This record gives sequence, structure tokens and C-alpha cells, in this order.
Amino acid sequence: MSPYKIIFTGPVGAGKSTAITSISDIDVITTDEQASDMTVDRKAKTTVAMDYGMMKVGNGNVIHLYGTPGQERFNFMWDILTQGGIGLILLLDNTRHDPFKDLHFFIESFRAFIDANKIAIGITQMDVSQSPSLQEYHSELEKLAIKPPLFEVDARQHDDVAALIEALLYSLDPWLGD
Amino acid sequence: MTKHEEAPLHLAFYGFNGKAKEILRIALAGQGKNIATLSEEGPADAAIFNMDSSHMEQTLANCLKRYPDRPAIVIGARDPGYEKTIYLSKPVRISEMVQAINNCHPAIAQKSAVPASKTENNKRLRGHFSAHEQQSGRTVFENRRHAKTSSTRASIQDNEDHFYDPAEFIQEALSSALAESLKNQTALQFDILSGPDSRQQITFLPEEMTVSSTMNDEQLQKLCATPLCLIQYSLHKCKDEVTVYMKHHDKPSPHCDSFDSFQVKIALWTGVGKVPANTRLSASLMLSRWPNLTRLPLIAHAMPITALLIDQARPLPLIAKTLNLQLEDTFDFYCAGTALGILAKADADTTSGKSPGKQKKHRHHSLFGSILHHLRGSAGK
Amino acid sequence: MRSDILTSILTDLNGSSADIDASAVISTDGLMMAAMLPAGMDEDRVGAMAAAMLSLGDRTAQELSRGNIEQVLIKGENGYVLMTHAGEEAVLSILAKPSARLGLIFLDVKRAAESIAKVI
Repeated sequence: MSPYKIIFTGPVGAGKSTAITSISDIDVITTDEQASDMTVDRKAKTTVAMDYGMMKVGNGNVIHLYGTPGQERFNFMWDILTQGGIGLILLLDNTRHDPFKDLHFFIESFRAFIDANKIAIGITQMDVSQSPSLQEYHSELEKLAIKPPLFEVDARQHDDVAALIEALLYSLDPWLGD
Repeated sequence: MTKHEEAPLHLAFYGFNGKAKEILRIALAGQGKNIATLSEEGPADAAIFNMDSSHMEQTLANCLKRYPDRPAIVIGARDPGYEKTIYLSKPVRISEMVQAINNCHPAIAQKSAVPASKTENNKRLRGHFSAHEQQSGRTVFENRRHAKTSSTRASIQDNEDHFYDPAEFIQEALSSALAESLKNQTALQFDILSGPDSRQQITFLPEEMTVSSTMNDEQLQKLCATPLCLIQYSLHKCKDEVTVYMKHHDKPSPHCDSFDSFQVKIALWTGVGKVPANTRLSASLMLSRWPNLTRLPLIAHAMPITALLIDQARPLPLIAKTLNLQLEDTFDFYCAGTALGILAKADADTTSGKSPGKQKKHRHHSLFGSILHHLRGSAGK
Repeated sequence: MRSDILTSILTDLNGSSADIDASAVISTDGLMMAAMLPAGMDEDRVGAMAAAMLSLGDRTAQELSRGNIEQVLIKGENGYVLMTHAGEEAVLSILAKPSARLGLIFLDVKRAAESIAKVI
């Protein structure tokens, strides 16, 4: 597998599959299954292995986009999917019961990867639930001793997802120019 | 235009700060040509007073007493009601002012006045913006910088091109009202008279963190660029029924912004590529967090500057140098970051001892470049 | 009740051949429905892995024009993992010894899968 990949992670229903679909240049391959546990009232289908999309960025280079399954029991997939990744996009759903718990959980789970690479965080569903605010997220991130890009996003919007990736890339390399 | 045979009037002026003075100058160089010149010192033939500056009542009274025969033009929100003065209410049209000065000239007064039709072209006093378009939900602003004035000016003058005086614009009033509204959790409303027939309202709704305005972006942009002395405004608590109406009405008013977005807009439109006069460019800056760039107006070079500054405090010139930008290119970010309250002067000890980070390009530098290019190329697909 | 029936099907399956070490019924999104596993094996992980493997296998078979998936077979040094659909919504997964005769196991597993599909 080519080493150029960006990984999308986050809890069930945060919009990982949707975000990849928004920026992929190929039809996204998803391994959807009917959800049978508590995820069922959040969305009809849930990713159980991975989502896969691709950006064709010119000069024959491609960036693979992988979405991890959301439930913790799939965390063996996370290790597999993050290997060799450029960086991590974490999507959090603001309507979930305790978004900060999700934040801590995913940051801790991917800590080694984040320290070696970078992370950009997108908060979805902020139009439905305004709380917690981005300011509160920033305070929470301070406890975790990181200052990552944190944007309000709509996973269906190409520009929002693109901004997350841009911020990720600039975090890795501020000298990219414009 | 009628050629005046007599020498132009010497005009004294009181209560005008730098920008307003500049406008007077422009007016007298344009429409008011040969009618009057500003007189910094020496005897003056007439005087003009901006009543909305501090202590002007006193100044005006003193002057009238000392020079009882000298014509006085008074501009202000309200007529102070002195005899033998010519009152112009704000907002003042340049044409009206020229006309008033013209009337001071005893000889000219008899002659026909300046034709009113020729007076419209100087109305835009500070229009730096050339383009303004809505693009995929984000507002894109392109600002045209001042053309550099003649090269004979000293280098100090070049530096002055970097600064503006915040006291001369409405930005401070707006943002302090916003802060007050947020602090007290009360809805506040600005009533603004910024031009002929342009009565506008800006309402701060702290519960929703929203600014609702009767002005569209273009009008707001003009307002930000208008010298404060030409604007008449008042601030008051929003009546409950108005707040309720705004909350429950589907479209409270045509233009709504988040607090943050509004702050950035007025900062960018007031700054137009300059920084406030009290800015010490050599000071090291630190950034407390990433701004919510997906929901803010486009800020020039925000991504690379943020990425650079989030790791380590640096002064603007160093940022510009490191990122291969002009110093001026960092000013929009400075204004926006300051308005958002996320940019602050670093403590001395955070910067000392650290050498400015060397460029450590990522090993996939060129690949990242093509990803950026790709993402932007396919925007709005 | 239903899980009792599933458990008894698994008990029968494990008893039918000495080569089968363990078996489990898992929902397609990775939740354990019934299991006869060796002590110390984490049910959640077994479930999630089986669901992920079968899901990827399913997708692979389709992308490569092999039709609907029937089973996924993994061979390791110490034995086999065999996964097969048991109806639309469940996966039957078994662990077998390295010496196992696959033909017989396929047959037993197929029968068990059909019984499970009926119950579910």
C-alpha cells in the first residue's frame, strides 16, 4: 500500500464516511452493515471495517483516505489503518451524550500516532447542538496538552472537509505557501 | 468651476484628528480648490469645529469670544445653538462643507455657489475595497493597498503606511458594545447614521452570540472605513419586545453574523491592510488557539501563520520572513487575531532563549503542495 | 431463549468434530450473539474481527466479480479461522485445529449456519 494516506476517525455517526465521500475522487468503498446496538437510533448503517476513498492530486500521486469504524471494539482496525498515515482527522458529533468523553477517548487511543504526526479536529452537528462550544473544546484540549486545528464542519461540505485537511497539512509543514 | 480671483481663505480647524483632517485636506484640494486652505498656524480667516470631539464646547466658546468677527462653521450631531455660526449636521456631505466655507468668503459669498452637480464624485472617501463576492458560503475580500505616495517622502512616512488610528473609526465602539453585551448578557442596539438617508441598526444578541444588522456586507464595509467624525451613532439597550421579535421571527433581519465573524469583518474592514497605531511590530506574539476558520471570513494567510505561531511565539516581521511573505501580508491576520482575542503579546521569557525555528520542511513537502492545489481546484464541485 | 437455541447449535457443532476448538455466532456489525470460546478469549474482539473480516471479504468478492461471499478462511500456523454468513444478519465463526479435514468442517459448518439462519 502506498504510504500516503489520511485517516478519518471518531465515534459512530460523526460523519466519517460522509466526509470521505465529500472529497474523494472515486466512489467511496464502505463496508456498511445494519447496526444492531445502540448505534441503531443514530444511523441505519455503520462502518464495521473501513471506508476507503481516494484523492488524485496530480503527478500520478494519490492520497488514500481511510475511515475507521467508530466503536471501540473495532480498535484493532485503528492500528492497522493508521500505519504509515500522514495525519489524522478526528470528527466529533456535538449531539452525542458526552462529546468530551469521545474527545479524550480518541486522543488517548491515537496518542502515539498524533505525537508522531498531527491531528485536525472537526466538530459536526454544531447547528443542532451549540454546546459544548469550540471555546470549551479548546479548554479541554489544553488538558490534553495539544493545540490542534479545531473547526466547526459540515461533513457534507467539500470546503469544510478540505479546510480540515489543509489545516492538517499546514500543521505538518507551515512552509507550504499559498 | 468659477475661478476665484482672490486668495484662498486660511481655515483654522478644531477637534479634527488625523484622518478627519486628511479628509478636510482632500476636500479642499478637490471640490474646495482655491476656496480655502488649512492653516496650521498664523491668523485664519475662518474656523471649522468638530463638536463631537472632547471639550469642544469650551473651545468653541473661547474662539467665538476671541475672534467675534471670524466666521465659524460648526459640525456635529446636534446644533450647539451659537449665534453667528454656520451649523452642519452630521453626516456631513463634502459638498455642503465646501459650500459653507465658500459662504464664509465675503467676496465669494455674493458670487454664484459651486454647482451642486459637480460635488458627488468625492463622496467615497476611503474606498479601498475593489471586489466583494460571495463564494460557496464564505465571503472573499480583496483589498487594494494604498498606492505609495511620492517617493520624496521620508522613510518614516513609509512606516506610517502600516498604521491606522483605531480612535478614528467605529470599530472600537462596535467591539466594546459587543463585549459589553456579552458580559452583561443583554441585547444592545446601535443606531447609526452614516450617510444621507442611511439610518441603520446593528443589534447584538448575546444569547445566540449573533449580530443582526440592517446593513449588508458592503454597507458595513463602508461604515468601517468612514471616519468616526462623519458618523452619528447611539447605543442603547434593546427593548425586550424587539429581542423577542428578532428571536422568533424567521428572518430577523437580512444580515446575521456570529459574534466572532462580525468581529473579524470589522477588524479587516477597518484595518484594510494596516495595524492599529499602538501596535509594536517587534513584539513577540503568541496565539492561544486555532481560529474557527471554516466559519470566519477569509483571512489572508491564516492557515500558515496559525500553524507557525501556534507552536512558538514570534514577532510579525519574523513570521513574514519565515513564511516568505511581505510584512504587510501578516497585518490582516494580526487584526483578525486581535479582534478574536486569541492573539496576545508573549511574555518576555517565552521568547528569550529560543532561536527562531529553522525551516524544517516536511519530507512530503511537495506532495502536500499538490494536495492543497487539488483541494482548492476542486472547490465547490 | 433464542440465545439458548444458538448455544445448543454451537454445542452440537463443537461436538460433531474433534477438530473444532471453538465457535461463535456474531451479528454482522460485530456483536456477539452466542459463543463457545476458550477461556481468556475476548468475545468483543472476536466478534469485531469476524465482522470486519467478513465485511471486507464481502466487499472484496464483489469488487473482484466473485459474487456474494460464502466464506472467509484464514490459515495460521496453529490452525484455521473460518467465517461464513448464517442468514443476512449473522456470522458463524469457528476455530479449528491445523490438522483438521476442511471438507468435513465445511459441511458441518454449513449445516449449523442453516440452522442458525432459521432461528434468527
